[in-house]
Amino acid sequence: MKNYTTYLFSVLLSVVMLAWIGCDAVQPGDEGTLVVEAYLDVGKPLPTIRVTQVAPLTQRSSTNQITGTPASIVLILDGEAFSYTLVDAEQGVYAPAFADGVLVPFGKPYSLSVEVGDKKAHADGITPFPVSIQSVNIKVAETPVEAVLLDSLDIGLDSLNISLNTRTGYIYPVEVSISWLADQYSAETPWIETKLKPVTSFSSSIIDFFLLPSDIFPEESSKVGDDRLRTWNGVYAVPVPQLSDPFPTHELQVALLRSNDSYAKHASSRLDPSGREPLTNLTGAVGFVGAMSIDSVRIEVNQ
Amino acid sequence: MAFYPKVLSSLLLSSLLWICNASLTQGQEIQIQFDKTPLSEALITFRDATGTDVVYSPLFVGGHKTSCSYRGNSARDALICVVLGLPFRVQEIGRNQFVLVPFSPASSSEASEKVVLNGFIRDSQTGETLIGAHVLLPSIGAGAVTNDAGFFAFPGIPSRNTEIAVSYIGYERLDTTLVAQSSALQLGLHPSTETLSGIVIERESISRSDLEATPGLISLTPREIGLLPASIGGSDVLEALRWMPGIERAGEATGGLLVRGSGPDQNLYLIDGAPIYHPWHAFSLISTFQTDTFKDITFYKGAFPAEYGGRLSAVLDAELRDGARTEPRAIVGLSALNANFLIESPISPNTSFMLSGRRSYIDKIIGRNHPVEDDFGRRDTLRTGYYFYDWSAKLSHRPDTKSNFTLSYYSGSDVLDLRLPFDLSLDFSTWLRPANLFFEVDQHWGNRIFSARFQRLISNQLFLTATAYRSTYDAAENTFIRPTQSAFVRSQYAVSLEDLGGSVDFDYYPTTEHQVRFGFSAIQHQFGSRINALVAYSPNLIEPLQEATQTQTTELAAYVQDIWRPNRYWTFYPGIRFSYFGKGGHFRGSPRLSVQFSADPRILIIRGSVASQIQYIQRIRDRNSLLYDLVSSRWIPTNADTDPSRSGQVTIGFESRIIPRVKLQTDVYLRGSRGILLPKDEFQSKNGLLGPGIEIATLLGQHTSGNERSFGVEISAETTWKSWALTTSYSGLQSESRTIGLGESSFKPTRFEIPRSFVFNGTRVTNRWTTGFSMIWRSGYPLTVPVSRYQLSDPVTGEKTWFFHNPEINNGRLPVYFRFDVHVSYAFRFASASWQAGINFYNVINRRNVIGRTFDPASDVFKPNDRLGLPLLPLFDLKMGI
Repeated sequence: MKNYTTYLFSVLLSVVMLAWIGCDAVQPGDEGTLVVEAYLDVGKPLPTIRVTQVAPLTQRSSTNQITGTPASIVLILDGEAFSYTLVDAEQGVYAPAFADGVLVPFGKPYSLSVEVGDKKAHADGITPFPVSIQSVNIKVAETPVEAVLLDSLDIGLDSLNISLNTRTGYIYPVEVSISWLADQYSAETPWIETKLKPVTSFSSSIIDFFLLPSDIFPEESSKVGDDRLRTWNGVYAVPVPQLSDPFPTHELQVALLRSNDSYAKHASSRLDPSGREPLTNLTGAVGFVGAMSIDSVRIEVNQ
Repeated sequence: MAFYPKVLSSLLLSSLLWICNASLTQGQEIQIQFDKTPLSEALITFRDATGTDVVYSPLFVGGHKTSCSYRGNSARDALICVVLGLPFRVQEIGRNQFVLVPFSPASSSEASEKVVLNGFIRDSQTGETLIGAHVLLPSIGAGAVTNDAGFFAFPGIPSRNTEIAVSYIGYERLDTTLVAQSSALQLGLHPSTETLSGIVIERESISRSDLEATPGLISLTPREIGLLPASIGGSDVLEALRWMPGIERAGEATGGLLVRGSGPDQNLYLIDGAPIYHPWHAFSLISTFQTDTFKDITFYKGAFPAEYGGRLSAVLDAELRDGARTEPRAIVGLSALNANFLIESPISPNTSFMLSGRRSYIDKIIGRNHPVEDDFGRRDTLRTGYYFYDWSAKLSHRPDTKSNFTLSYYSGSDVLDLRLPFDLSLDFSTWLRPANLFFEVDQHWGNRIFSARFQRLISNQLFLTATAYRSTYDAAENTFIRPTQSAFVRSQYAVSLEDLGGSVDFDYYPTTEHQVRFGFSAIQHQFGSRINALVAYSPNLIEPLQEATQTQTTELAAYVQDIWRPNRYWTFYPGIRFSYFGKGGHFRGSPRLSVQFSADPRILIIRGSVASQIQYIQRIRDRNSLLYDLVSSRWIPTNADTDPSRSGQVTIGFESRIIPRVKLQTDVYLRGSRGILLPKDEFQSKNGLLGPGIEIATLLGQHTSGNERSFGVEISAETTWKSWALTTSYSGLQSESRTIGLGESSFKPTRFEIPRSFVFNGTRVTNRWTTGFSMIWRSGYPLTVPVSRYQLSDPVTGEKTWFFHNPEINNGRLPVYFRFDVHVSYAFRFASASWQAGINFYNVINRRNVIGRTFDPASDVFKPNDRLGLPLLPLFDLKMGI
C-alpha cells in the first residue's frame, strides 16, 4: 500500500512540475524608455540635446515625443552648470539657456543629467583633444573594374537555402589617405572614426563589405610619422553602368572624429541596425551622450 | 589525398577477405580419437580440434578417462562422444559453447568450500563481449553488471551447482546451473528473435540502470538504434538519442546535442576510451558515430559515475565492435548521403578484427571539377567538391582466457572544396564559365583516434583495464575571395587539439555486495591555432594578419566508486573524483552519489542522485571575423585567471511497470552551473573580415563568466499495442543564465531552452516489414524580440537611422516546432545475402517550421522575416549483409 501511495505521489508531483515548468518566457512589453542624444563637439558651442522616448513598433513616421512636462536637463561642463530649454517639441530638441559664446573645452570633465517625471538618465566623461585634418590625398583608378554588387548573403543549411543575391557591375575604386596630428595629451586611449562619404548619390548602390570607406580604431594603432602625423588609408567605390563610362565627378565628405572607447563601442554597434541595438553609455536611457572632436572637409573628386 | 583511402581500402578489403576465406575453411570436419585418455586432456584436445569453448570444473573432471572415436561435423555430437559413459551431460549455452554439467550433486565438503564465481558474457554468434549484461544468482539474491570487458564476479560462492541467470536486451535469457570454479566462465547469449518491444516491456525484464542505480542512464545496442527513426544520413547514434527525453539538437537537423538545457560542449564523447572533440559530419547533419560499428553505447544524462569526468552535462561512451570471433560477417549499405561497409571476422581462434568505412558520394554525382571555357578561349576550372568519410577499425586478441588486448582506430574528416563565381543561380549557363570574380573555399575538419587497451583478470576478484590513446582534432579554413578586380581576401586558418592520454582502471569484487572500481588517468592536452590572412582593399591598401598560438597542459584525475547492494531493496553508488589541471594549477574534487530503492521492481523503483562535475576546457568561437572559426571547433583551456566550470545536479527518478506491459519512468532534476563562458555581447555577430585576431586572451575577452541553472521533468512511457512498440515522452525544462561580469541581476532564458517537448514513436516489426513513425512537438527556441524602436542621428553626417530597442534577451520565442516522420523497410534474401531496403519520409506533412526569425527596423511595417526548416524529404537506404 505504501508503494502505491509513493507512486501516486510521484505522479502528482510530476503533474505539478509539468504545470509549473510549462510556462513559457515572458511576452515582449514596452516601458516608454527615454532616448537621449547629445554630441559635445570640442571647440564648438554647446550642442542641442534630443530627448524623446522609444516609439511603438508600429509607429515609424516620426519620433515619439514626450508628453506633459518637458525634460529637465542639466549639463555640467568643467564644473559649470548649464540648463536646457525645449525649442522643438515635435523633435524633442532642447537648447542651452544662457550659454552664448560658451565653447566646449578639451580635456575637461562633463556630466549630463536628464529628468522626465520619475525617469532619470545620466552620462559623463572627459572631452577629447581636438583633431584636425592635415592633408587628404586621393587617388582614382584610371579605368573601372568589374565588381560584385553584393546586396546580401544568406546561407541557411537547415533551409537548404543558399542565395547570394549578387550581380556584377563596374566600379572606380578611389583610394583616400587622411593625415592628422597625433594626440599626446589625453589620459585615456583616444579612438578615431573616419568616414569617406560621397555627397552625390550614384545610380546604383553597393555593399562596401570588401572596401574600406570608414573605420573605427584606437588612435595608437594607426601609422605615425616622424612629424607626429598619423595616417589612415581608405577606399570607397564609385559605381558606373558601363566599362567605358568616365569617372563621375562628385563631392566627397572626408570626416575625422576623435572620442573615447565608449563612443567607439557605440559607433561600432550602429553598423548593423537590423541585427542589434547600439550600445549606450547612458544609465536610465538609450542613445548616446558623448564628447568628441570632429573635423570634416568637402572635396570635389575628379579623375 | 582521396586516392590513398581508396587504395588503402582496396588493399585492406582484399587481404581481409582472404583472411575471412581462410578462416571459413577451418573446422569443417571434426576428427577425434581417444583411448583411455584422461578426460581433462581429451577436453583440451577437443577444444583445439573444434575451436569451441567447453566450460567445466577441473574438480569434477579429474580422475575420469575417456575412450571415443568420432568423425563428423557436429561439435556437440563430438563432445557427447567424449563424455559418453561418464557422469556428465552436455549443455549447449551458445554457438560453439558448451558446459559439462555433472550428474551427481556435490559432496558436503565441496559445498562448504567458498570460491569466486566469475566469467565473461559474450554474444554466442559473434563472440563479442557484452557490456552491461545482467548476471543474477537467484538463490542468494545477488546481481551484477558486466564491465567493459563483459566480465562479472561473485566472491564467496559455495563450490557446488549454482543457478545463474544472464540477461541482456536483445538476447535470449540464459538460465543454467554452473559450478563455481577457479577459472573464469565463458557464457554466451543467443540473439533474441523477438522484437524490441517484447523485450522492453516484459514485467520481468530489467534495464541496465536497475543494477547501476543511476538515473538518466541510456544504454543502447546497435539493434535498438536501428529500430529508431533514421536521420538524413541514415541510422545514427546521436540522432537516435534525440528521441530520448531531455535531449535535443541545437538546430533542426544540425547542431550539437543539448542535454537538459546545457551547451553542446558540455558533453563528453568517447570511442573505446578516447575522447572525440567534434563528433559530427556534414555541418552536423549526421554524427561520426556510425551505428553498425559499435557493440555498445552508454549515455549518461547528468549523473555519471566517478570514472568519467571533464564535462558538466553528459557522457557518451561507445565501444567499437571487437570483430566476429566465430564466422565472418559483412555489411554493405547505401543511404541518401553516403555508402558504407563493415567487415568483421576471426583471424585465428583468439584474434578477430572489424573494419568499417563510410563515405558520402554527392561529389561523385555532381562532380568535383568543372572545366569551363568562354567564347574567347579562356579556360578555368570551377570546383564543387564536398565529401566526408570515416574509417573505423579494431583488432582484438585474447592471448588466454584471462586477457584481452585491443587496438582501435578511428579517422573521420570532412572536406569542402569550392571555387565558384558570385553570381550563382539555377541557370547554370549564366555562371558555368571562367569567372573574374569568384570565391574559393578549401576547408577540412576531422578527428583521428588511436587507442590501445589491455584487459586482464589479475585474480578472481580483481580485473585490470589499461588504456592508452592519442586523439587529435584538426581543422583548416582556407579562403580566397576576389570580389572586385582590384581587391581580394586570402586567408589560411588552422586549429588543432591533440590529446595524449592514458588510464588504468581496476574492478575489484571484495564481496557479492560490493563492486568497486578505481583508477587514475593522465592527459596531455595541446592546443594550437594559426592564421595568415591578407585583405587587399585596393592595390595600395593591404592589411595583413599573422598570428599563431600554442599552449599545452596536463590534466590528471583519480577516482574511486562502489556499487554497494546491502540487500535486494537498496543499491548505493557512491564515488569521488579528484582532478588537477596544469593551466592555473586547479585542483578539484567532485563527489557523487546515486541511490536506488526497489521494494518490488514491478511496482516502483526510486532512484536519486547528487553529483558535481568539473570542466576545464570549453569550446568557444570568435564572434567577429568571417575568416576564422567558421566551421572549426576551438577548445580553450581554463587558466589562472578563469576558474573551471562547475556544476551540480540533483535528480530523482521513478520507474514502474505496475500497468501490465507498460513501463513508466519519471525523472525530475535540478541543475546549477557556474564559470560558464558566455558572450559579453549577445548581439555581436560575425560580420567583419579580419576581426580582433585569434589570441586566446582576445577570444576570452569576448566572453565572460556566467551562471546557468535548469530545472526539468522528464516523463516517458513504453508499451506495446498489437504488434506495435510505442514510446512516448514529455520533457519540461526551465533553463536560465546570468552573466555576473555584466552586472546582470536576474536570470534570462538560455539560448536553447525548450519549456515543453513531446515525442511519440512507434515501430512495428514483422518477419519482413519494419514500419515506424516518429513525431516531435516542442516549443520554439527563445528569441529576442524588439519591444519598441527609436531614431539616432550620426554625429558627423546627421543622418538618422532607426533602431530596435531590445531591453531583454530571449524575451520571446519562435513558433512551435512540429514534425512527423515515417519510415518503412522491407527485408528479403537475394543472391545468398540478407537485404533490407527502406525509405524514410522526413517531415512527411511538409510543415515548414520556423527555425530563425529576424526583424528589419527600416521596414514601414513591423513583421518578422522567417527562415524556414527543411521540407518533405524522401530518403532511401539499402543494406546488404552476408
